Amino acid sequence: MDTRTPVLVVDDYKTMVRIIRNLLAQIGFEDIDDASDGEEALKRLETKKYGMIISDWNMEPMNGLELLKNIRASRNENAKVPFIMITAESKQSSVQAAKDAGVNNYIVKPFSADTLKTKIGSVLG
Amino acid sequence: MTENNPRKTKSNLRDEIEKIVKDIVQSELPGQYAGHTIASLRKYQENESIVEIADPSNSPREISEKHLPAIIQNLNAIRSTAESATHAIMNAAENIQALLGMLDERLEQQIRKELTLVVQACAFQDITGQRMTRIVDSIEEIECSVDGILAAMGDKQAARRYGEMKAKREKDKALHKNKLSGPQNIIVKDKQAEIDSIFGN
Repeated sequence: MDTRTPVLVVDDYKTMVRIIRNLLAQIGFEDIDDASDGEEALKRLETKKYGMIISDWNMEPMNGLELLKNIRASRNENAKVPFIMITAESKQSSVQAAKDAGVNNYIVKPFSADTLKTKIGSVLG
Repeated sequence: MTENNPRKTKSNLRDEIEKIVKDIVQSELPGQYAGHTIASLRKYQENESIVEIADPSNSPREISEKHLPAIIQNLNAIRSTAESATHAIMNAAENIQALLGMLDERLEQQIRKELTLVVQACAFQDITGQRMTRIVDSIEEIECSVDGILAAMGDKQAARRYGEMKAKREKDKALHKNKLSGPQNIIVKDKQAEIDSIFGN
């Protein structure tokens, strides 16, 4: 896996952003940005090309699923960026909705550092 | 009969809190924050709202005006204390990580591995916070219903509170319409494996 890949972490909960940033840094990622909801993430995506997005689902005003749909519908260079959803929501219908919208992988909270590393490996190759 | 005895319930609750306090004392939470958490729990232990609410001699007005708000206040205090403790633990973990380069490689790897466990454990606060929010929301719903009943019985103060609370809840509902229900009530151990199978992982 190429740890030089720029990563965008999206979560409205600051502690979780901090945890994910910390775990990513331990895996070796250095170029990590964060946004507190979908709208802020979209603004960041207008100005920088990312190699991966790790996003919470439960955010306001724009949640993770809406963010994903916006990204996939866009015509910019980030339209096909690998997208991992991290959420406490584990209903099968929600997971399927995320898959249908084009999510690359899905992690249920609480998760371990190993799970995060495995899922990143599966989307980045 | 003993099961319904408020005194017995109160004693059980105090025993349970005492057990939690003992667990914290024996844990490795940073001292200052462990102190705050214990102080909050002691306060909770002394607060009789949870057990008093089960007392059949309570009037609906007492439940609505006194006991339910006290429970919400306590839950919010616990949530806030847990958040402060999590930040303190994260700060300490990050400070230690910054010093790891000064150690020999074997020791550095070992400590880094342990710190990863500390950091990932801090995610408990996110889940706990979401569950607390859901509980507080349910209690507010009950509070609103009790006021609705009192209002129907002609209580003017309750009617005012009911109107205000109903309007607030409807506004919140519209604002949070995109929010998911959050952590499931039943924790399924292999939920990640089940989801992985959907993705063919």
